[in-house]
Amino acid sequence: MRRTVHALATACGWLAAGFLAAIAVATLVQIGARQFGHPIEMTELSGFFLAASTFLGLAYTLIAGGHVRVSLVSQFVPDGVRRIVELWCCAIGLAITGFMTWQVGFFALETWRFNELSPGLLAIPMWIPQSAVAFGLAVLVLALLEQAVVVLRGQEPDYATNDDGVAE
Amino acid sequence: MDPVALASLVLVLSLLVLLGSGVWIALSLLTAGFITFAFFAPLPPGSILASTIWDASWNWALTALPLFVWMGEILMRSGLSSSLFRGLSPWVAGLPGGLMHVNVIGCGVMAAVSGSSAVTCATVGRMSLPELRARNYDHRMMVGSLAGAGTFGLLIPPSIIMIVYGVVAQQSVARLFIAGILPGLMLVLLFSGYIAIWSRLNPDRNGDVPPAMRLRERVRASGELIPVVLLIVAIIGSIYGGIATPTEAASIGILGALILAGINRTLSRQMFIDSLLSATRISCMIAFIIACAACLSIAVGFADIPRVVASWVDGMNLSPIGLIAVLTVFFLILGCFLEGISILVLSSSVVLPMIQAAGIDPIWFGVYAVIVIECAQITPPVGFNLIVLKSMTGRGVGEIAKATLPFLLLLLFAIVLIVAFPAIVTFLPNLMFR
Repeated sequence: MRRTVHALATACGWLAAGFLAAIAVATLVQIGARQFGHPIEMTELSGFFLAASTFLGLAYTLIAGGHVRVSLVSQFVPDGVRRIVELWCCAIGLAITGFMTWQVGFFALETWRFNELSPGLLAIPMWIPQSAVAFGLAVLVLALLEQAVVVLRGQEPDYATNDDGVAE
Repeated sequence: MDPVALASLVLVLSLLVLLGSGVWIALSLLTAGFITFAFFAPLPPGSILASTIWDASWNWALTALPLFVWMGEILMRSGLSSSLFRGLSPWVAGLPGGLMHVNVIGCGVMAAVSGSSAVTCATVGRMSLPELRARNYDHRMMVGSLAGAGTFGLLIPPSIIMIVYGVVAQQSVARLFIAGILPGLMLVLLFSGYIAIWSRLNPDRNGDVPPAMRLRERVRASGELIPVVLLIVAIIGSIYGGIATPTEAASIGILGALILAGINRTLSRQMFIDSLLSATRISCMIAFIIACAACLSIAVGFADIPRVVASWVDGMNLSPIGLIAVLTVFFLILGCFLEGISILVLSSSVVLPMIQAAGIDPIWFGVYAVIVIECAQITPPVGFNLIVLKSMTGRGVGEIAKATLPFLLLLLFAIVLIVAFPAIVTFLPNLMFR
């Protein structure tokens, strides 16, 4: 199960990176088109790319230790207590992301049912970007669940080590 | 108990417990928002939280954020560290304090192309720390000036945190960027001035200065800096002139950063992917915090807390200066435990209505808040620049924090200056297009 969840999170992370690059490409296309006298509006699309990039990247960032937290308590308590604290964090995380996944999923379903279109010229059905948000949250739920199992087994969770060393 | 007071109490307690126990900051904000909403708002929380998190996550003004993060990540890997050191050192070698000024001016230059203090600090320090150490510079001063000057990344445009402030406070990011220029230059002068005075007072602790170069050699050494300078002019100039939005300037900046890395022969497939993935993680973290903070804000709003707090502040008849003094202390305390962006988004829902009630210019307040947050970056135990320098020097956070203290005091002095002379902040943006 661990391997599947990690593979899924990493795949979504790459997708998120792709969407981030797509924001840059879309904006460059917008600038180029304006120079040649054919203004096209990419701002709305960029916004959707941003939402997709943020939410699809959630689980991948979690596993890489990229989400910031105040780690004072978990640093200075004995190992046994620390495990309980980490489990508490995972449990809170699971509860709230589970709730939000359900709510955002339902929200996307509603906009699909009412066939809501984006306000800009492109008139994209809003459920498309919204379902990326819901899906990203769902993958985060899986990743948190997997990390909780790691903690339960008495191992060091992946999120406790930050790959970057340089956050923000 | 009055329901608003009860709601505020529950909000503060749940935030304390969640953040304190180490729940991820974004999820803490979301959970606290959910709790406040569920108990103190007349509606069920689900659908409103869902639509709020969605609306906050595709905000167009926010698209500049991942782009500037990516640009910084490219530049950090582009070999700019050594160009900066080689290009700047011949010019500052003659000043009192010698090559120590490379830290301050190098950070100033780097800050004008990157939006984060950690990237600024790490890029400049990678080259200047070993070079200064080899020349017997005072270790404390070297680390302190780097940690302090690294925070310029927040103030000198482009700036990630100003994008965040612009989005949460609904202010023009372009104007905020421009407003940061003069205070940023002022801080460069303050820091360099302090280094010069310090080195005159402690002549026995000065490091070695390389032999002076002739003007032509100096100019040749600085030739490597031309691409960076062009990049700075392109980004800040296009925003100031109203030619490009911050998002457009950022995507041009990415192109420029890639070209610069190409010139330095550091551009590779691996480097491109590393920078992109790293930018994805950082921007995901920040954008998620913003989206979750929007949920907290709306919950706090439904519980009527901001209106009550604003009228409470109004009733205290605090002068704007008194309010700023109180807020500074409040932010500095938060800064001991949280990093800058979290402080800003966490407090915005309550603090911004206060600012409006007190009649303080929101652009000025943004710059003020950024300088206070610069202080937060170098206060222990949680100060990002301290942590960056800890990993670069292997010294303890406490020791680095002590070395940085004079620069922290200079930042506080800068706040006094912009309170006394608000025009330092407002002069340039007032000249801009409306």
